[in-house]
Amino acid sequence: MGQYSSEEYPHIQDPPLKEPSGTPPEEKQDSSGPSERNIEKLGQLTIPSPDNEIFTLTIIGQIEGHLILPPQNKTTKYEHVIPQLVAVEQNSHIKGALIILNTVGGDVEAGLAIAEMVNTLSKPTVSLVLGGGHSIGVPISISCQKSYIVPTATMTIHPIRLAGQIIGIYQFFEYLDKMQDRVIEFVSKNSKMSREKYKELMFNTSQLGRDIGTVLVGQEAVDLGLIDAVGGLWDAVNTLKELIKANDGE
Amino acid sequence: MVLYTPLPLEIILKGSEEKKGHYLQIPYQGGTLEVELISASRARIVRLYSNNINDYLHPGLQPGTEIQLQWRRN
Repeated sequence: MGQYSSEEYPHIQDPPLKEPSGTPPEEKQDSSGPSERNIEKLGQLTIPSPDNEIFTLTIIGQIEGHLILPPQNKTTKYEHVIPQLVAVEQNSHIKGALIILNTVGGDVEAGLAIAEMVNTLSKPTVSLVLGGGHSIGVPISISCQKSYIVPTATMTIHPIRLAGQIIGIYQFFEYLDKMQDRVIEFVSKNSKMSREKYKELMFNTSQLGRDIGTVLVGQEAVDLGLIDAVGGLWDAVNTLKELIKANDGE
Repeated sequence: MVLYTPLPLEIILKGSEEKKGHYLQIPYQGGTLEVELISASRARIVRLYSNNINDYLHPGLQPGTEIQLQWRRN
């Protein structure tokens, strides 16, 4: 990390940081080491250097939806991640994407949007669940061609509901049920877990104190067919490189 | 918005009623940067609007990056 210059990123256009003259009074300059500070602040990684053909996307904290969350939340911003994934698809220098997750979930629609984008990327994708990949992190982690989980990582599977609110009318129950169905549908389509099994885990009453649901730790997620394998960074990167090689060979 | 998370909603939404900072939209070639003012001369990128997708990969334009503002007389 350090000072970035346009020479280091020949495939990216020059930083468009000079505004055209004559318009509003501000002018901005790239400050030194922006990326370092960025990681510190938001936990979002950016772009591979030219010799690195792997794009790394980190899904951290809350996945932010249509509302900006208060600043004590670490967030993954979908309005930035989605165009990034479009750029990854279009950029010929990027051969594959590594998705690293340590998330507590978040907005259903934003999470599903990211999952669908990753799922339909034409380039090889590998995910690695570290720490936690809870709730809406589950669809994102299984959206890749190959998914890994470290032995100590956990995934919480629970029903979608609005904390503290009582479902008063039938229509509202239907609405939440439909939303939940979208998640279940995506999971059953993209992993080895069946609809019925996922629902069963969702409504398990024997595991969580304050909620219903299931916590899967490392190997358990693999045994139940949700994640492909237990592994670490090396496994994920190595698999991605192999997939890239196979993709190039075609 | 439906949040799907094991975290209690009151923790996530704590402070959402508080006053937000000052936001500015700054044009740059081909797009707009939404920034939050930190001081008179510094700002933090909140959001990027651009039709050039490669801008979204640029390390200097990621949300959270601090930028220097220079005020100019027209």
